[in-house]
Amino acid sequence: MKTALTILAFASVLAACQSETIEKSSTTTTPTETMSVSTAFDTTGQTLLVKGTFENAVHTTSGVARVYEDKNKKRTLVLENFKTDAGPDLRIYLAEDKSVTNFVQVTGKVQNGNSAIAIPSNANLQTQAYVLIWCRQFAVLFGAAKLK
Amino acid sequence: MKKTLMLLLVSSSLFAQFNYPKQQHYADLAFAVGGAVSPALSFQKTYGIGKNNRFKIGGGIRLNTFFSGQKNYLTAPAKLTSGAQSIVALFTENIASNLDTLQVSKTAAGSLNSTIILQYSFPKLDIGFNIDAFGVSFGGKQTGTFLANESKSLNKTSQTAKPTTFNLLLISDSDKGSLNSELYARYWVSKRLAIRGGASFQFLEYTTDKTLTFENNRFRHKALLPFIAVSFSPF
Repeated sequence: MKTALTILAFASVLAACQSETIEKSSTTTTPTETMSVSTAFDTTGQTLLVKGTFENAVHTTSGVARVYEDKNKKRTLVLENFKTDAGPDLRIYLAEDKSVTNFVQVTGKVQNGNSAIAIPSNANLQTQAYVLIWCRQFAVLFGAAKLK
Repeated sequence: MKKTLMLLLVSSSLFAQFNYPKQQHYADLAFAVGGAVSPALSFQKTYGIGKNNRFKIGGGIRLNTFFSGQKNYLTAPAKLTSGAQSIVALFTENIASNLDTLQVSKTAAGSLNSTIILQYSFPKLDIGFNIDAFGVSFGGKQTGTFLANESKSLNKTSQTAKPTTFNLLLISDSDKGSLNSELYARYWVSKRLAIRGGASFQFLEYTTDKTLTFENNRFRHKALLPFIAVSFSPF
């Protein structure tokens, strides 16, 4: 009986994390700053700072994350061939580790494929070197990429 | 065997003849100890159900206090502790990797909560259970050491926290704030005075000033303490 209840509980949580479709919109607003998301990113005049490959956590996540900086020191997180399971209230954070330590939210909307998202000016890539795909509603880490 | 049956028959007929009050009002002062000191003052009212009023339900208000030295407070939200909510969390194993510890150097907290009571009465004796439903907590800010092995920058850092303001019973780790529950037996020494004893199971919760690992700032200590109490029914 206990096992059945446990399985049911997990199933309902997992189902909830998969029940919503990933956002297809190209513009999003975060609680702290307005960040533009675009699918095409021109690397002309941009310097590649760091990059990393997504690895699975609780869910399947894949793709490459790169951070570019332009002449005005504006940084952009570029996701290439990015793919993650859908989930409610998915966020992209920059954090110090996979335990979501000292995170900064990059965007509150996550989309599969290629995208470019402005990084908040208060993010410190020296310390906040993990890109996390975080399900805020259920506190579940979908996947992460370590930027090097 | 015959004697036992006779005794049962006699005692049950005696219980049936006993005049159980339809309503009971009382003030109660409880004192729980065991690694902490936890006095609680409550005012309760119960109502008899059925023909003989032996089963009672009721409610009340309880002022809980809890004082102790260093205690470990673990990650509180159910979505982190087990990934399950409400009663399902009771039957779900904890996710150890999500649990971090806040070692609070001193606990000095209070809560004022509404209480639900379920009770069954025998002549001069009540057996019951009560549990806090909702209310507020108060207490000073405390410092503590945060232990999180997976977080290099936060592990062993000093953090400040205060009692979570609002308390709400949502069952198991889904509960919010500080709540007390008691399993008890009460013996009526006279019509107005009773002594009570049992076990008190308490949830105490602190909220850190800073959001720590896993976007969490709520940490809970669970305490099981024996208690004794005096109930006074002046009405």
